[in-house]
Amino acid sequence: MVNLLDKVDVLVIGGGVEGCGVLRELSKFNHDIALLEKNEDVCFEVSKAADGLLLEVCHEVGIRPDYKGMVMKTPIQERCLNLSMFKRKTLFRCLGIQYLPCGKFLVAFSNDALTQLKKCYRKMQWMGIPDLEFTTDQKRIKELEPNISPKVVGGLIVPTDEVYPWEMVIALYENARQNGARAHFGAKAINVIWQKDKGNFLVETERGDIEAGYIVNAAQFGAAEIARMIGDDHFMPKGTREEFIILAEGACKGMIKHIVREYGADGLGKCLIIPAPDGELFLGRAYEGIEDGDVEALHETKTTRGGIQFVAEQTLKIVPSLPMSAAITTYAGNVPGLRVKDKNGDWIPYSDYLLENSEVNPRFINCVAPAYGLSAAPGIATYIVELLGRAGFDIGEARVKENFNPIRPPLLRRFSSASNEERDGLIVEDSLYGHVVCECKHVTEAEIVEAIRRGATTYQGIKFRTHAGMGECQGGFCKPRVHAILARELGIPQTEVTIKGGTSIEAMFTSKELLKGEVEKLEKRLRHVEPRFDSEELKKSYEDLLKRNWRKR
Amino acid sequence: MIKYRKPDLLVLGSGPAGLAAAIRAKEAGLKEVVVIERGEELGGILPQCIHHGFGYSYFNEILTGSEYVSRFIKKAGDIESLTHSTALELSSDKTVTVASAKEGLIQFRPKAVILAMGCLERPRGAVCGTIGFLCGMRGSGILTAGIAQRMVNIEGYIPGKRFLIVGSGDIGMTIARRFVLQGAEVLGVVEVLPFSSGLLRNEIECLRDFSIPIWLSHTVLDIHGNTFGRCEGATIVEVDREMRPIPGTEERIDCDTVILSVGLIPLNKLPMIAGIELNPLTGGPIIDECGQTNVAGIFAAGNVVHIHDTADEVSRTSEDVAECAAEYISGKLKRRERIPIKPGKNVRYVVPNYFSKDRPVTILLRVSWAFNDAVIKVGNIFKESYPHIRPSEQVKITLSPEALKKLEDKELVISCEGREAVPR
Repeated sequence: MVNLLDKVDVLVIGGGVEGCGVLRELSKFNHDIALLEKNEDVCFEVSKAADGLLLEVCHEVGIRPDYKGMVMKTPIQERCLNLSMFKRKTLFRCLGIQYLPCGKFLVAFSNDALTQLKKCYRKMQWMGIPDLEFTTDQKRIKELEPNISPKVVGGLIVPTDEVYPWEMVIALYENARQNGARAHFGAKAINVIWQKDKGNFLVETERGDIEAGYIVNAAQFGAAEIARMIGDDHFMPKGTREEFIILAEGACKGMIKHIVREYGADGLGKCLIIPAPDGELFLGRAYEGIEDGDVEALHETKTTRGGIQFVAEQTLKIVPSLPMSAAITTYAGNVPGLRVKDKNGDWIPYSDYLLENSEVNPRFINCVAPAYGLSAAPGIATYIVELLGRAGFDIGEARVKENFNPIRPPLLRRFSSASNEERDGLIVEDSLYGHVVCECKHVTEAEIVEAIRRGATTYQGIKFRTHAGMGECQGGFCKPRVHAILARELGIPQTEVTIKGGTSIEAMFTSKELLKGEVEKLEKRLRHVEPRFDSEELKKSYEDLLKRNWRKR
Repeated sequence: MIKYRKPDLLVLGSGPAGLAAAIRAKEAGLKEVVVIERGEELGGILPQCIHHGFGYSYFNEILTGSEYVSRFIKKAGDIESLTHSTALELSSDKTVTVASAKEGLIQFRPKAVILAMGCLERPRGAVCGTIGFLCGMRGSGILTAGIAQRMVNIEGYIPGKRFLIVGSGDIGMTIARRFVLQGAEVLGVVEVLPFSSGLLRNEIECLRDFSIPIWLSHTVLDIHGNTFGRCEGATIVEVDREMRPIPGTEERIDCDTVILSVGLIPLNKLPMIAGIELNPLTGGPIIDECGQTNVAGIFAAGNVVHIHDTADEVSRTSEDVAECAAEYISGKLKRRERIPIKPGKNVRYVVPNYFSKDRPVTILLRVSWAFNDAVIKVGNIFKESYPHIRPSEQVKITLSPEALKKLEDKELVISCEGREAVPR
């Protein structure tokens, strides 16, 4: 043991929504806990690219919190989702997370689809879901969604909530940090060893070793690899790439009121339109399965021409007037899935959550929740603490520690959502509030500095915490300024500021550095000063332009 | 405490449009003129434009962008300006809420407002429509030309060593030359159209003179990157006349940075909030020949209306707008008959959108394709011929009230006839 980085009671591996949820839950107790994350910040992989839908009623998985007698296929998933639903509202209030209760509008384009949708409606009614509305009246459909295609023959309104996924992850992490949880970023777990003599795990990471009494393995795509380190190899990740387009707030604010999704004759359609709380529209999503065992592809987030075009075509089918020219960016993310080994040693798809004490060592807990992770995260956290208890983890007699603070002051939109009086007060208090750095989203320098204090070390960390650079110009004005603020606050040169960790540096060299030894080469190139023309015609038109545009040359 | 102020004129933006307008307004006799600038210094984007190409027509000299604007800043010496101040809201009753680091929150109720905020760069996601989205890896090493320009010229950093420029916009071409001068390598410029979308002058002075290839009718199919989120190359492909990639023409370019210069869009967030009518062809407000929008007392000047070719042109038109704003404040500018000007055949857009027959009007327009031996027809009252014309070279026509009186129709349609320089 050369370099002992940390010694903790519980180490959570993976800073996604499950990992941060567990971390926050554990921060309630009097124990040393820490998060291990290979990226530079929390919420940098799967959670970042999630669509942000929260399921109030999980008709898609066929479950309902208080419904009696319904047969559940996936008991752990159901349990976690149920628990989350009861905890969610309080949690959101404590953590200052905004969400948009916009409801979902399922639309059918054909009579066959309409029959199916009606069946779905009956099922949901039977499940006792309130405020459902099924309509085939064109007038009513237009009233609900004025811009929807006239080819829609019927629709169903389902109440649904929606959040920005990354805000939830960041809020959970920040609150855990407030309550004493530590975090080690940029540290990928290389090996995990069970130390029999000490009765704890030794986790070798890129940045040093960590001793941990218990491990919660919430590394999603990396979870199987980490579990294999202790000899547990009964599951492996599966992935699907999803691609999205984001349309600018200005061109489409209020255009779509609900989450709109097609309902086809064979069930839920692939593509959907999501109105974001900020006013943008998220158009999704093209699926592309990732081959088993292609580990690199699971971390790849490239967008493809075909995929994006597919999204554009499909969503235009639902809402023909979508202003595609207002697209500001596209992104892709990987949706996790699972395969487990059956008795014969074959890999079979697994639809439930994998929350379990590992068979190899009960103190090592696998926490992999492929679907609806965002909706279920609070429930998963509670369940994991229970599993820790089963392995002998003692949360202490007091249960929740006295000084536990469940309130996390919100940061997002602190300035932009304030009234004019409040804004003035903020500027008087701290003049940095007067520096609006991101003009599209009205993010001030004070908020950016605060985000850095709360743990942001990269451009994307700032972006997700404050929304600076998420507007129409995509950082055209603020990007260099945010870079400068990051360099100043972190005390590093700009050539070390990254977009999202690793080698994702934007300012690769200082201007002087690159110029060294290039001067001679440059002189050679600069010999041609007279304009050269390919054709007489071009020369003529150039001279003509000169005459027209400039009096003197 | 929120401060309330009632100046004569409030100018939003201190670039070549805002400063020129403020100076002319002051000269026209307005007492209290206030300029708002969001950046740390006056000048808008020009302080970072350290290349020459400015002032040819305005000062009759060859200047750099920073020199050009510094002359305006000097001239504007006694005009009140607030830097580090951002207009948060604009309402149709001309109330402007400004957040200023020094002064706190200020609510302006000026007699007139001139919008001179300029434009923004089309971001990566906006490269769409017929051209198809610019797909591939996301991360570092993919920048718009303006960001790169600020990095190199103001911050003193350079984003890479081997560059690929996507789009032959003017900023892209000038930054390509800048990179070469800085010791980096520019592998080429990719343009989806069969002709360059920047000024011919820039194509020659920045690309040809520096032996930078320009691949016309090409587009970027894919951007490659490493697992750490750094760009490592791009695949370019030739496109056919309908701008669809031609299979088999793919070529991999080993660049470490991709610079986007795919056009500029007027900043229209504030006008949108104020309920100002926008022109879908330009993205900027619809204006009459005085620069006035459909909201009385709110004027727009410079690139916030439509993208001009040169800063000189921006300053010129802004001065005219400032004179009209001064007239409006003194009550001389009456609402008169509004005759619409419309783009006709082969014309992409025309500015202004309305005019009246009693004052001279300067019309700026862009054609929709490259033409040889072209003739621009302004209704039945005026025509001018050009040996070569293309969308990137703006056409400027000034008509006197006498010429305008000849107009018989209820609207003025401007069209272009010519031989297509490249088959469409």
